[in-house]
Amino acid sequence: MAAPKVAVVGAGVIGLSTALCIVETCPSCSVTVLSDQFSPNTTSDVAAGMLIPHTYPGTPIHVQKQWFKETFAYLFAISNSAEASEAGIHLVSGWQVFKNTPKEELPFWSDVVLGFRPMSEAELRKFPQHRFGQAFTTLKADCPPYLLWLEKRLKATGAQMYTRKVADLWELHSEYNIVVNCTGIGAHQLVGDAKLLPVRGQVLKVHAPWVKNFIRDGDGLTYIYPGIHRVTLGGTREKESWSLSPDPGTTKNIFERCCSLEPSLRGAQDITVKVGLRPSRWCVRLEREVLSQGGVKLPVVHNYGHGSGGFSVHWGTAKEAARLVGECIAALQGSSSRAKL
Amino acid sequence: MRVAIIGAGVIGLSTALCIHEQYHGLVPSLEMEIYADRYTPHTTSDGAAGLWQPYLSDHGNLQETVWNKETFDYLLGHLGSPAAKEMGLFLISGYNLFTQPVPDPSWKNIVLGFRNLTPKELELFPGYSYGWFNTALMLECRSYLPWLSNRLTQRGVKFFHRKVDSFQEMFAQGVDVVINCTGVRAGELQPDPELQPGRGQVIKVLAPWVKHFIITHDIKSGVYNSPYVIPGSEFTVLGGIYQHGNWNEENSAQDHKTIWENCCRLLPALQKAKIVEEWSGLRPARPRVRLEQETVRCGHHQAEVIHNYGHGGFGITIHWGCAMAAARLFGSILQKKQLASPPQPRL
Repeated sequence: MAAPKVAVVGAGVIGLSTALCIVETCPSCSVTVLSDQFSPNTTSDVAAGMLIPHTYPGTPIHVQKQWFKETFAYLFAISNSAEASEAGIHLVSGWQVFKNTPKEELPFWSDVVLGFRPMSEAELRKFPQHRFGQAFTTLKADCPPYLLWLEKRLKATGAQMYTRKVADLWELHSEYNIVVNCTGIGAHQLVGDAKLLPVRGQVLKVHAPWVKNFIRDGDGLTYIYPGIHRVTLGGTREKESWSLSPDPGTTKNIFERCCSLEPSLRGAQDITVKVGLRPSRWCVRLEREVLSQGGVKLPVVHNYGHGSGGFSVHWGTAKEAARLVGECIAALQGSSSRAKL
Repeated sequence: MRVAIIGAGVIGLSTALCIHEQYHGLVPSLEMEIYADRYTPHTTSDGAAGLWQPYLSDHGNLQETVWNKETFDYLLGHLGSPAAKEMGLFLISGYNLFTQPVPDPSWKNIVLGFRNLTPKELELFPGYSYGWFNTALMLECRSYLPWLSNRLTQRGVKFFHRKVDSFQEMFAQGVDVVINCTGVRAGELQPDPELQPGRGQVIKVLAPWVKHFIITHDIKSGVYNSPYVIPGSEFTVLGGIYQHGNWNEENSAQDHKTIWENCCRLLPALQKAKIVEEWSGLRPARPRVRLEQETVRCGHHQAEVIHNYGHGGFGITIHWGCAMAAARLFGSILQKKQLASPPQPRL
């Protein structure tokens, strides 16, 4: 197969990074990104982009750790380069605080982030309602900048991007040899995955440039993540809610919770509200599938269902997806040479 | 009882407020005035980034370490208050970098979360093999000085925009106590060979992705002669110049080049930062802070001066501890004049 034509469906952090990995591992491939939404209108744009992993119950921990390590290393290198500001990647330090001491005092990722250690007594005094905490330094990928930077790098390789709503993966079989499904929450309808469900998250993005440290409640519900220009205040985890409309009562509630962790936020200005639907699944669906209709086959690589951990593992899963695309190509070449006999 | 503070930088204004807060209730006749030829944003304090961090070594000045701690604790206590934003006060974490292991500083237990850097963290800073991480405070004077001024104005303290040429000038007007917070130019009021300018230059840039302070140290070239990056609430300050004895307040193109090249080497991401402003200032350097009372002959009577100057590059770091010490000296002056004792019943 001279120049395999690969379609990547989805242009959030997963779609764009996967497309980039495919281009890098398979230079002869012609890669096209198709999506009904591009930045700043993807789920990724709502997320803060913090590298703090979510634990998937259905994936072995060593695999999740490997994905996180690869993602961290990749972004760490960018943060330390002249591209950092354009790519929106920066280091940020802070605290994860718990009202009750967690069962697991050392999360699996504690040796991947920088300087992980328990908080001192003096540090905990700033959080009178919390009894235990962890301090560390991690990375943040601000969106839209990171997505726009991925798009720019893709365009530089010659990859194409088109706004297009794909209603059925099969519709792509005549134009493309391989389809990569990075549709996030869209996969629920696109491939009928009933195990993929939204976990609704509402966040506030505010102007509070004096906030330089992140603060996260270990329950995952309340967090303050300082980005380049805005601070993300969160949040909610509403299972199976499909509503993309901001709820004013929730806005007030998030603001109050965050102010109780960081009182200076009362002076925050220019509050905007966003909603995203985390594409949640008990494990990331990262596997090959072959669709067939009437003797025609279409290899598909699925890479979706990252829930609240998309940014944390995106580069690791993108590399794995690219590897699976490589397997698809090998399989196609194998069968095409067999067809010649 | 007329009190005049000369100098309206961080030392002058905070000393004024500290004294007024403590003694206005006890001395109803207290009248306070502030005299300065430069007010915010034109003081030395305004040019500083505002990071709370003492020098690496206190040179045996334990008194100064105590004043540093008192300042940190005072500011930390204000962090959660509604005034914090207006004061320009916020927490910030960051790095101190060295080319060889060094002893822990006197302030390691004052700041929050002090620890050594891990090997992976040091990978971020090629050329540096040892370092510290801690969380400290920022106090931006372009917010703090106006905040202090507002508190003082509310209390009825009067401000005068003029240069004072001598202590005598004040006493001749009827001032009883002068508080000398004149910083680097204290020598113009009373010669002090120990006071020298420590000239600094900084470049202010827009680099909002930088969330940590980074202070490098070169033991050979001395304090502040090694690049540093300090992110503020609006701008990031790049610096690394300390020229002892240089009175020049003009920006130097050579110093600009030194700062820019060194800071960009330290943080490659800075290459894309937009330069907004350049500033030079004179740190009021002295082997130790001059914080003491002096009785000055003035015609037939004695007048009192409290000196509070010579805070080098750590004025913001030490200011409140010094203000409180100056206030204690003021209290002892009041006692001497028997003004602070409670009124006796008439028999």
